[in-house]
Amino acid sequence: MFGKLGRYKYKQWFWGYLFVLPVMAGFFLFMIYPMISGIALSFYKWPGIGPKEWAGVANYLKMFNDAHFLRAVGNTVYYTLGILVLGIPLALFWAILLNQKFLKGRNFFRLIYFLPTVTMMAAVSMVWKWLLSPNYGLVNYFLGLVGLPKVNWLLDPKWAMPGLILMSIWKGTGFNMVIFLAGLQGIPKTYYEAAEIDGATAWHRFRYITLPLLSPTTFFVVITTMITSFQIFQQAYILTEGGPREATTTIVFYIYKNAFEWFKMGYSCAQSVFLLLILILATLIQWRIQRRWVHYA
Amino acid sequence: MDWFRKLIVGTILATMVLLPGLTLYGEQVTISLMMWGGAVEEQEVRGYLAAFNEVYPDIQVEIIRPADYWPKLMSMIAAGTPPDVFYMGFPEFVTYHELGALLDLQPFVDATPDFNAIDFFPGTLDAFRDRETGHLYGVPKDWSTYVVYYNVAMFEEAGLPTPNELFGYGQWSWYDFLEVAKALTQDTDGDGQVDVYGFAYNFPGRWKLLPPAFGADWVQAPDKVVVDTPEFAEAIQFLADLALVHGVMPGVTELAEMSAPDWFANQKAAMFIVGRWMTMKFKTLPFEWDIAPVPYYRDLYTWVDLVAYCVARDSQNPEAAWNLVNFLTGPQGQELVAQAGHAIPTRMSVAHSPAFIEALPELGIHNSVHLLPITTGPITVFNHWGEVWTAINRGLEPVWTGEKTAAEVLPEIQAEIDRILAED
Repeated sequence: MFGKLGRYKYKQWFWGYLFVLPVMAGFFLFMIYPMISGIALSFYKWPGIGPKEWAGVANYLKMFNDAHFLRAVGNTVYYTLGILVLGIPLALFWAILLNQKFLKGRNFFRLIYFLPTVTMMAAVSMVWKWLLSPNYGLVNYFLGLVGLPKVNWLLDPKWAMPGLILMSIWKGTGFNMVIFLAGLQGIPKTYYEAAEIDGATAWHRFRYITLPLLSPTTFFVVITTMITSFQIFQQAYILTEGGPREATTTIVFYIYKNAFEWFKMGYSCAQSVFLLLILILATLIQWRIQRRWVHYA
Repeated sequence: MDWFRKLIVGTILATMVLLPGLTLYGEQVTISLMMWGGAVEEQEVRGYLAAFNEVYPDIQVEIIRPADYWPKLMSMIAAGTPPDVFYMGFPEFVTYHELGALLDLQPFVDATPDFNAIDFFPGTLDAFRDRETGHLYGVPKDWSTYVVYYNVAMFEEAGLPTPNELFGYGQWSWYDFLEVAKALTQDTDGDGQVDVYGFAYNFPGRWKLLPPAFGADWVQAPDKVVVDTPEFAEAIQFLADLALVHGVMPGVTELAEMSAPDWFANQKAAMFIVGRWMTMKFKTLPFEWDIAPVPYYRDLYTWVDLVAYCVARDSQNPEAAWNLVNFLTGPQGQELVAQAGHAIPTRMSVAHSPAFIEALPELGIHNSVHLLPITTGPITVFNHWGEVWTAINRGLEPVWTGEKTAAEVLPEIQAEIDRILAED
């Protein structure tokens, strides 16, 4: 009756699937189903409620002629590059620093650096609004101490995005730091000891032991950071409302505007699909080039 | 154990069958009311509902006050489980009505002899009618006109007549206003920096008050929005120059540090303009203030905000929902609105009664300023409302910072507006 599976195996199979069923049901209902209907809706002209009107690929064509959308794509790429180039090395630096045995109070500092990660973005944004305030902000005060001119953060189109990047690095680096820490602790001490006996300097040990053996961790951090950075929304929504002059209008912010303020749900779905495609493409490229630099020990 | 299992299953089944029946027997109905605003406003609404339940003890009203009102409303309607009654601003009304989300209230109005439609301020009812059939799809719950809030002591110290007196003398044009603001702007400690501004205003978001007063007829039809005119440019430039040229108003940077109402509340600005709702925040201020009409120029004009109660077309209890709406917008409900003090009642009989004129007696402010027949209703709602406002606000940004003049940016903004309005 149960074929090759056998009665015992079948029972195991049955109970196993029964136990994961609630999670799977939730996953399909709240993730897969909305995703598929989102893709379907991107081919309709639909205000969000009421009847839908078939639009073919009109939403997609419109997207590439929409200067504001293209601007949002540019802004998002700028933000993501900023986070990748500045945030990840910083997270690695902190992780290495806080992995040193000689450091007193390591756990305390790990906690301090991790704290922003679990703090609510809305609260963080309100605090940073003050920190970045042009005349009374702490950031400009410190710039003044080292003799740098005041920056009109958040109000100057040139500086608003760097301001957001600064804040997001402060908020998100602790998380990457913890992942790097775990990676660092997975590297066997014997490698370092052997290298030291052979006369390797600190730089050599970092360059030829830490970096290669940490590369799977780095790969994971780069991919997840890239995906979350592409989805930046809250900072732009709370801190700058997409301004000044659209300098912080990101893809998701523009999607939100179209969907919930301008009654263009179909168009915003098309933008979401575009975002999904960019992320898939970027991740695929990462997977392709990983064999050049990722070493699995 | 079998009998035990049967007993439990039987009990559950019996409860499931009987409970709804029991509810029907009590004739209790529960409807939902979705609102925006803060905790203070929710407290007020609970007060209105207590009064409502004295008349309708069988209708229970459950309040929903989400953080993100419009996305929440849209998803609830899209999911087919809308709130029964909800707040609806006059601009959003047009879209929600077009999408068929709202219940036609005309049959209920016709069946309610004491509804007394002519008691509503002209224009407030019309904003919620179908443009073709004239059927009513929302009943205005309260409204507000922009007024000048002013610091009484600062006017006395400067030896100036009050804005109400100046309005009475016919010396309250926007250019008179500028002179008054100059006289009120002070550098008290002589360090070359302004300590008290004559005026504080959230101009990047509320410039809309000025163009019509300067003679710009900028919203001509739902599909015709004209900003590229000399009058519009003059109004915008006048407003920008209050900060850039005359230094009588905090500019963009200063507003980022402290919001316009806070400049006034901290006695760092002598005048401030916004709608009635700010009375709620200002009523605890430790200094004397009053309200006065906004300045005029080529025309008398003030901005009107207007909110209605609408009923969802898919409401399960339209009768109960109508009873709630009718009570809250009726004479008794409107008196409660008047006493709460944060908005103007929509019924003229209540607005012109002591309930509103003498509201918030401890403040001694001239509530009747809100009733000056300056504007009869809200602005015409144009198509692609949100997107067009965004385009104008965004386009005006270089004017506020002084990088460009209004006359330079308006042609670009006009092109953008025309592009948006040309979409179907």
